[in-house]
Amino acid sequence: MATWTWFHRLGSPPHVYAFAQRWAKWFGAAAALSMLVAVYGGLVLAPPDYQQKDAFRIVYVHAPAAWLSLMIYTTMAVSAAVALVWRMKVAHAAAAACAPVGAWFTVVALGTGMLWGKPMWGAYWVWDPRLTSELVLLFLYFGYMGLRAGIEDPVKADKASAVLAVVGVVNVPIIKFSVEWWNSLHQTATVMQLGKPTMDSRMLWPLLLMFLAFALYFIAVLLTRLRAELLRRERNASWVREAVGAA
Amino acid sequence: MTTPRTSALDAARLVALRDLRLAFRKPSQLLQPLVFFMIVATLFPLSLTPEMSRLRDAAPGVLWVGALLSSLLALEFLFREDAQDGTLEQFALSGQSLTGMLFAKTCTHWLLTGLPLALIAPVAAGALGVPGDAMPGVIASLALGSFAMSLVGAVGAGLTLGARRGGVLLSLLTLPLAVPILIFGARATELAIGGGNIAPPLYLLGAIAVLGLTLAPLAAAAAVRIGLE
Amino acid sequence: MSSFASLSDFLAMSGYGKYVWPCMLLGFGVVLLNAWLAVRALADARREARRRLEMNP
Repeated sequence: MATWTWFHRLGSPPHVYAFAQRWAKWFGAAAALSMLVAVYGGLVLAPPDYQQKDAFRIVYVHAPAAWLSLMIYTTMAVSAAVALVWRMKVAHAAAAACAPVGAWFTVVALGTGMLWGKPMWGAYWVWDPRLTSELVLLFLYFGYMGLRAGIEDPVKADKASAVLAVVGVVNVPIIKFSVEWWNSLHQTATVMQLGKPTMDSRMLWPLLLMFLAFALYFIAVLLTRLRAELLRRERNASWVREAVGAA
Repeated sequence: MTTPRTSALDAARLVALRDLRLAFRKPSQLLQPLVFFMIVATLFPLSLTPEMSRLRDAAPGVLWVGALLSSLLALEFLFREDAQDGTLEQFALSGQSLTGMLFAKTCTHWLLTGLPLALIAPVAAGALGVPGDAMPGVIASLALGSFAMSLVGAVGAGLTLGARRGGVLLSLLTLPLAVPILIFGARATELAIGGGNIAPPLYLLGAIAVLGLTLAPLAAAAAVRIGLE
Repeated sequence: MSSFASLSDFLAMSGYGKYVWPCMLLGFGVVLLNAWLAVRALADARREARRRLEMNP
């Protein structure tokens, strides 16, 4: 019985709202701090790569952004699945809060990948398997957001987009595999692995710290967006009066 | 309508027979995606080159992009009319498994659209310079691929039932999910044209179809239920 | 400790500055943008909720 209380609280909008209110700023502060240290470590302290010189420093935004884009999609799909199985309104709100952030970080991963590609491959775009699957991931996000926007009834929009997120997340590994398989058949000579040199520890710690910073940042943004979603969805609930401190 | 005593298999059979009968009463609906496919296949020589050797290189891409777009067009007919006239609601209320009935609809839909497409593809392929002995490979890859596409598309079609402009949205949802089908299918066609062993990509395509077979009908039923609520 | 001799070296990024700096701008620009969007969405939602409550107390 007691072990289930946390789960019930997770399903209760006022509890989640209060939790988000309490914790978002701490996650945000920790993210800002670790991001600043990681930027300093990555851009200033880390020695240049022996091959890519200082161009390798792009890894400090590219890799965390690419990782986050996938993490956010997974988070979205897990929330969607939880929402479908336990009919949890909070989980629908969380999934809705994930999508735009995830799409933005997919754009960052693509943009930085292209800017990295220019000096390394000599062109902004090559059909590198990672860039290609990142592009398909962006389309998956667009599909999800399009479906959400295309259905007027908010309850239906929640449920339909939740099914899509679950179907999408089953497809993500298949897409990744197929794109890598496709690329291995048409191996182009100039393709070079992005960000996989043998890493000096002075290069590695800022990268790991940046991953942590991006994760903390995402939690802070998600909690804040979740509060906004909950207020909008629960506008007729009595807890909202207390939460916004209205007379 | 079906009585509750009908078994799930009988219900599925009845749904399939009904769809077949309806389809043959409106043959234009069946022909349109095929004509569309042939038009797309004609546009490529006109925009690229009439030179057969260069067209042959482009043929897998032309055939597969054409097939995917044409099957998207055909997906419009899968649920929309039945949702509008309340048939799907009757299905959901009948007490029979909605998953089973929608799966029967999807298979029938493939029989009426995907299979004919695979069977006329050699005409387009021949016009693109594909040699005759590659045709069995072309047919096999397109038949299997369009089946997988029908399964994925059924989920998309179900999800967009409640949306305002379903058509564009359906493509936006379904095409990214169809990327693996396109990759393996086009590769199989390419190998068939080059005289290679088409088994590896066909197995991978088959694996996707099997995965789709187990998951897509469930997702499609969930999607349609949401649309009907 | 820095791996650059001077500020101009740092800005040049061994000749890759025109790729590295736009990346940083894009990456951290989006980080700031999403933080701002989230804060604004919350402020909007709070304002809207308060307005509704004042209309029907």
